[in-house]
Amino acid sequence: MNMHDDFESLLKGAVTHGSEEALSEQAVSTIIDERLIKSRNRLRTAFRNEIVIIAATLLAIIYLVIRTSRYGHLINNALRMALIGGIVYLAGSIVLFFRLLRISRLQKDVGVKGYLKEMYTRTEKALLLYLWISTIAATGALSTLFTDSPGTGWYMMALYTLLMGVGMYYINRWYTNKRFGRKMKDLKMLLAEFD
Amino acid sequence: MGKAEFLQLTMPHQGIIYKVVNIYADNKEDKDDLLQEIWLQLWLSYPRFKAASRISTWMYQVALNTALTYTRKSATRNRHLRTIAAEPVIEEDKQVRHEQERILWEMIRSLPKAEKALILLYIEGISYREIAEITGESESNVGVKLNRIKQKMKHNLNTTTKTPQ
Repeated sequence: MNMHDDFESLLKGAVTHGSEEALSEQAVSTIIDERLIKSRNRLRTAFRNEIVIIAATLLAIIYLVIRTSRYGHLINNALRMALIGGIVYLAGSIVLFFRLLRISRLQKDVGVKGYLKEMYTRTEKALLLYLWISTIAATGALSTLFTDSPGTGWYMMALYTLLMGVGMYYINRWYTNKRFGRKMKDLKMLLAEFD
Repeated sequence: MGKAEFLQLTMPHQGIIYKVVNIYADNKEDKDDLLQEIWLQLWLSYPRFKAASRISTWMYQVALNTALTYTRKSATRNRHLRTIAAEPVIEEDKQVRHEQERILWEMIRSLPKAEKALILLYIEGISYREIAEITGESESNVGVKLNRIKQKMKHNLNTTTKTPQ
């Protein structure tokens, strides 16, 4: 046996040790059933958590609106705007949730490279959409606090809004990076490996 | 399309799943979780399976796509997986009798994810054309990459075995 053949047979031998005892059809069938239930439950829990966060935030804002209404008409208006901004912001979170859900259900019986590319592109688009929705909604809501402020010039309001916009953009970017950064980095690395 | 038909078609090839799981998951819990996830994904993908393509090609695609994007979600143990769950990683290594095979196995496990997929398919004796279909790369690319990986492994093996312990 020459060196090349020897290496090839070693290579083949190296992988054969991973052969465990085969599962029965019944065992696999049960695995699938249990996994389906677990997957549905996990999804239900994730969705419920999103709803709870949204409901809690909205209730907190509404409570603030009611509590501060006695302090005057101006603050009340600003908080109403903040409520609208909050709703848009949270709607963005729901959109992201469903988009990510669709991405996780991408067709897996396709070429690996194509699958990874599709997953990366779609996730990146979803995160970008969320980033802009949340930035605009949060900035819009916060900037309404200035609208009724007497004595603030339009240029100052524009400057504050711009600064808040930049701030909100980076806060949201930090959030998306913290939550999905590692996944995106791994996907990017995998894609680079296949290229 | 019933589950009986699905199981009848996939069960003879379940070795594919074990090989993918063993090469990508590091510990017992991850192996359990990944194995379950691959079976689930195969079942969910089954309605789209076209009889024109080979079942093994289709299973490799689903298994590799699942394993490559896998992040451990649950540490829940499954009683149906005692056969693999009962074996710690170190025990699996004991099954590799030949020292060089063991070293090679470790080398394969330490390869980047994409290279792992290619070498696994190559070792399984799958043609370059089919590997290209599974990975979505061109046939020539597959050939070039496999040669490069094999050269690298051969070199590392020689260096390792010549180095006095």
